[in-house]
Amino acid sequence: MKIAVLVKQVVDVGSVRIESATGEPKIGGSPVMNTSDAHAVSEAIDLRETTSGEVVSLSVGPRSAREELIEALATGVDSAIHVVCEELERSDSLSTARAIAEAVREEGFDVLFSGQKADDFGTGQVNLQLAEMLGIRHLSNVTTIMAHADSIHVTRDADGFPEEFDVQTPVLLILAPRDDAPKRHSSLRGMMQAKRKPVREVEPTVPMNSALTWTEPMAQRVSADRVLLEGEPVDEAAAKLASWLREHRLVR
Amino acid sequence: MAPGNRVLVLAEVMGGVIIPHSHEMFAAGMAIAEGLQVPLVLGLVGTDQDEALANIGTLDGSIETVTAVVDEGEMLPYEAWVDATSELVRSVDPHIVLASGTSFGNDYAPRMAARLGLPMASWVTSVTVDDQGLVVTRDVLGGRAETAIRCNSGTPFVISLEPGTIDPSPIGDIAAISLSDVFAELAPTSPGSQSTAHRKRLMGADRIVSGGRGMRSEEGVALIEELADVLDAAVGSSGAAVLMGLSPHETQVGSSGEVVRPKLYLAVGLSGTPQHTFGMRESQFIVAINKDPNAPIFQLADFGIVGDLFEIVPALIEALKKPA
Ligand SMILES: Cc1cc2nc3c(=O)[nH]c(=O)nc-3n(C[C@H](O)[C@H](O)[C@H](O)COP(=O)(O)OP(=O)(O)OC[C@H]3O[C@@H](n4cnc5c(N)ncnc54)[C@H](O)[C@@H]3O)c2cc1C
Repeated sequence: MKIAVLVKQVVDVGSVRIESATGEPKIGGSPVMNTSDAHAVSEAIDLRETTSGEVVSLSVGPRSAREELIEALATGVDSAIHVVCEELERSDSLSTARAIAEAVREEGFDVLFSGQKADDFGTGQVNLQLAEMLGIRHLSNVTTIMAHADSIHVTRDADGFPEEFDVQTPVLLILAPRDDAPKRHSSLRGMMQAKRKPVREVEPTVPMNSALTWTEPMAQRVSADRVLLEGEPVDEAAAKLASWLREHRLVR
Repeated sequence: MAPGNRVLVLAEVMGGVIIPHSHEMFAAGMAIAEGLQVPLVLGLVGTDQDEALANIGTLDGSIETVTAVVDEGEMLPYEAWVDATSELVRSVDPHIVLASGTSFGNDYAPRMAARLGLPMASWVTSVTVDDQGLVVTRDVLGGRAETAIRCNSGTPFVISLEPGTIDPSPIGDIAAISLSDVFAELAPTSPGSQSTAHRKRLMGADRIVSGGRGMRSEEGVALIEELADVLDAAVGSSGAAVLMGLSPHETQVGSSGEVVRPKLYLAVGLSGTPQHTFGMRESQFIVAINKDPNAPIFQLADFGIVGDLFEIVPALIEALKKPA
């Protein structure tokens, strides 16, 4: 079985701090693998373990996105295809999906995995649009996957109701969002092995642009007299809030 | 009217009934059509549209209705929808297409946009028209910030709305179904609802203490209730707290709960999603307690404490009980 998994390099959303005066988000840490993609990598490897075959990770993104592909290789993925595109931030989901579709059309993947949306811009479109362009079905909100000899049994969550499918390949499986940590992660040994695994770099064969234009992300500007207590001893913070409430006559 | 100059709303009709979210899409569609001064076309997509049409009765004369019957046959539902809606969009040839932002909409709309080769903005929380055309906004970076999106003039584009963020409007004679009723049905009947009889009513309360998913358990709920008692406040909740069975639906604040304007709104362990802030952003003073310094609720807050509610709330109760 030939399995693919979509991987996106995103900003570490947890490291974003909002400047209260301007509303400007400041990104603290280095880029990371999109949270739900890490789950997708895990599931893709699980499927290979039960059915044999290979897993290829796919990413569109700047040179630095190679890091996330290596991370996937170190977790157990067999090879990677990197569509190198420095302008990803200025490309819309249609261009991005087209770039992947053109790069992988000849690969004949049986199963593709993806997360639901990216942590950064989170359009939730690229994965489905890729499936449309490849002419394959997708199932979203997938919660469990069981492989059989000639089919894959999938459960999805349809607004709180489980739905079961015996899916025929090729298919894109979009995993339901989840809170726990991915089952598999990279190891030191994986890192050593990853060095010998192939990463194929390709240029996008379609123009990377956008009919949409968007502004820089901005949070609401907070009022100049907002009080925000962070890292203060609990009792002091509570006492300050109590007196603030009294000052503003908000207690009975 | 020249083609390519209309707004098309793809309303979802299930067995003759227009789903609640489609009323939000219709409201957004009307606002856009009015702003751009172009006609609105109401597309009824699904099954048994005759019944829906009969219930709609008379629409504003400038609004045209078209129907697309979805025949699933051997297809998955969303596949049949991609077929039906793509064909409808081609024949109407609109400038703006409003597709559904429900989980079902998220299954078909991006594929429809890809098939038609149209750009798409999803999870849209507001639509406005200025002198350069349509601007939509949506959340990014996990709700921490927002971006405004425009489309190159001349290119048609697809929009799907974040459900529960735009005021629904009636469609002809069909009143907007209250999201609140829909939510009430989804909510498990919680043991908490028995204890509410003696509680202060949310509506009209001067002070409200609301708890969210961060309450985690009955223990967290008890803390919130104790704080509310000390402040002589009503108890509110977030949608997540209701769906977890922690709080009764009557206490839910937001687009599918109550819209409140107290003097004090104290939000504890809730993140401040657009659906929630819809119901409380007009409060006079907003206080937030949350362990995530980036929680969007802090952007609205006049006073915020970053910390664990299980530590902060007991300390606050103590501090309030002490004479000033
Ligand atoms: C059509 C529709 C209508 C909806 N209508 C409403 C509505 O009317 N009202 C509504 O509220 N929601 C509504 N929702 C749901 C809404 O989308 C969110 O799911 C919900 O608001 C999230 O609630 P929350 O903030 O409690 O949970 P979350 O967003 O999960 O936030 C929990 C917060 O608690 C914090 N936290 C966790 N543990 C602690 C701790 N120990 N101490 C301090 N902080 C902690 C976290 O940092 C986080 O910020 C609607 C959804 C839809 C689709």
